[in-house]
Amino acid sequence: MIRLQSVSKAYDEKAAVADITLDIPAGRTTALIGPSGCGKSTLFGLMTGLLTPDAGSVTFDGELITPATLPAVRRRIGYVIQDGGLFPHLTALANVTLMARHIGWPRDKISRRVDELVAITRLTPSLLSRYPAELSGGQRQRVSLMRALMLDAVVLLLDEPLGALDPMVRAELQDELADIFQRLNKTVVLVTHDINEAAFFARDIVLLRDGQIVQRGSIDDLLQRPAEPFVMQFVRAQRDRLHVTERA
Amino acid sequence: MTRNIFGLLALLTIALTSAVRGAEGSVRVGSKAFTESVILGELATQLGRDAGIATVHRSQLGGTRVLWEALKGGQIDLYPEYTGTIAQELLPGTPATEDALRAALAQHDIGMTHPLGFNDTYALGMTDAAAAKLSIRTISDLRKHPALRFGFSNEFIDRKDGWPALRTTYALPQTDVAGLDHDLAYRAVAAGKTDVIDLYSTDAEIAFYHLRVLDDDKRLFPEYQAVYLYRLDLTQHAPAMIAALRRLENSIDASQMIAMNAAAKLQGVPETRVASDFLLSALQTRTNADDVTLAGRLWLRTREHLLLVGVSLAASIAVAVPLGILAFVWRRAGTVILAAVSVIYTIPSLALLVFMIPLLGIGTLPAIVALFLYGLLPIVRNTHAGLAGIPPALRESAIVLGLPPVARLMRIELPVALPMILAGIKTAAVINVGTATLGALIGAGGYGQPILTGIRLADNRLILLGAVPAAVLALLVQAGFGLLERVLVPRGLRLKARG
Repeated sequence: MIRLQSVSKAYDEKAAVADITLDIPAGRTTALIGPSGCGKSTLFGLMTGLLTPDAGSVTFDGELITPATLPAVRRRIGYVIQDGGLFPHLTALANVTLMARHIGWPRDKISRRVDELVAITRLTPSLLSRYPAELSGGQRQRVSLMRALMLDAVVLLLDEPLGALDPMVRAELQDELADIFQRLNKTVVLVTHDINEAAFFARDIVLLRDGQIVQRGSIDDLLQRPAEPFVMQFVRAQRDRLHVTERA
Repeated sequence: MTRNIFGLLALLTIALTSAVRGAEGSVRVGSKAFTESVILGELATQLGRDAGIATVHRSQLGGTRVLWEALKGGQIDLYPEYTGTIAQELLPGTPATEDALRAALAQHDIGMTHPLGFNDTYALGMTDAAAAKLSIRTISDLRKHPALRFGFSNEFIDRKDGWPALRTTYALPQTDVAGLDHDLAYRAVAAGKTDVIDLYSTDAEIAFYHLRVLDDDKRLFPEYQAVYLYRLDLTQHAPAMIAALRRLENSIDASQMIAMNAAAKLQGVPETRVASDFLLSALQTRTNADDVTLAGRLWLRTREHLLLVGVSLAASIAVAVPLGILAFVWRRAGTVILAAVSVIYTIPSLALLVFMIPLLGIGTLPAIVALFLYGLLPIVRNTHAGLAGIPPALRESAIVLGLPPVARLMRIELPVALPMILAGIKTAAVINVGTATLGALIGAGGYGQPILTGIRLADNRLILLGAVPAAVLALLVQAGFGLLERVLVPRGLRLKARG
């Protein structure tokens, strides 16, 4: 679905991503994971077109991402970031419908779509009239997900979507999100620093370090066939919660 | 909205420009910002009206430079001046004889009446008690007391025939020389805050404050015979005005001038009344002193002040918000824009007003332009800071959502920056209300007019008549913007986020 071909990106001559080739398969969830500074956020920026590669190319559904194709590509991308990235001056509903209104969807089409999304994300409908600051962290993420799904994006890009939540809410949302991804059959790219979360959502985990892919595979591959000692170290450092993952 | 503001500005500019030019055939009299000049201006104005000429008095416009430029530029038609000032300041190098001055003035298309009859020259004074204690009678006596503090009017310190000439001629050793407003200097010397001040020999306060006028034993100060300067084109379009001025030639002696100054300054008689009383007793001419009620005057000043503030602020907003946006969107231009408005802001407001005179003359228009320039910085800076302060995550969300740049600006960035932009406009408005009081110095009226007159007449009630409404207006503006913020800023931006 998304293909990065030999891309490199450097900031102040320090490589953030060095000659990476990565295929994101359609209809599945892929997790990008690694310690801070490993390049996962840069990869994410390249996929959303926020960053342009110094070398290499990024294609979306077979189409090269260029300034000309970017607007059309972005309507097929849903984007959720840590703490939602909701616009504080708009109500939850206005946040969700912003883009649909901008491209001139008729009102009844908008309200039908909002009803569907309320059902999908199980958001209490009365919360839609609230401002982001009046919602809890979990509620904000549901609204953000609704906004990402509004135009029926084919790809969902999630950057630490649950990073700012407390463990209880986080666990609950993890279950619901996994359920939603499965039902909607979307291509999902999830950036996280948490190996448990990566393993929970994705059978396909891409472990990065210093702007390069260290290993790609399932959690079992990482545990049983580590490509190098760093993989063991990284997984072990977060192992205390692994039983949660193994249950799933 | 923006188009409406520009339309309004265009209309107002036209209205103001025509107001400054004045009606056909009318005569505009100017006067400097001290009582004697105002009285002389008023005498000319009332005699002009008596001669059937529509005459307006733009009183207390400022110092010599302002009046001279306004006369040459045609914003006023005549004003009272002194021969010494013409010879020393306006046309340096001209011999101080009447004929030589008249010939030199004619080169500038300016005419001069014969002297009015009194010599208002510079003099130095100190309290009688202090002078007696140090036995000082002449300016030369000052040499023996180098520790004496001098408090001189700024004009006296700057002009060649003032302090520089005095120091050289008398070899005065004093170094403690402070610049004071002439009218405040009397109170300073009476209160013992300074020892020696400059005076004019017809000042009303000399007797009131028990001052000793020191003898100019080296005859430094030249003659300062009062005359009227007028534009020679008056001989075409209002010859009767020149005839009216002629009636004042040789008809005011020093004691009469001191009496008029004292009536205005010490007894608080309005200059219009002082002038009409003099014309009645000396020239047997009955004129209308057109006294205005207190409420009427306050209302007039309020209207003038609101005009200054309203138009200049609207123009500042209309220009500064787009400039702030430009500075944010185009970073390289931003550095230049922010630096430029900062530099304008560092110009002292008084200087900025005076810079306007050669460009736009005197009156409401230059004051509005100066206030407009002054209002730019707070609004540009806050617009830029408000936009630049939007969290990157929010901006990126808007980009990835697919909003094109203009829609992002209108739907996301400007609304989120709105509280900051409004705060900048509020700052500009409050500063504007205060600074607009200085507009009176170049004839724009407003609350500064009673303040200026009050300082000149040492009349605290008059000062308060301008200062209190200006302060109240500033508070109202502040409160008004608080209200506007509640209406305009979405509730979502006023809330603190929950965890």
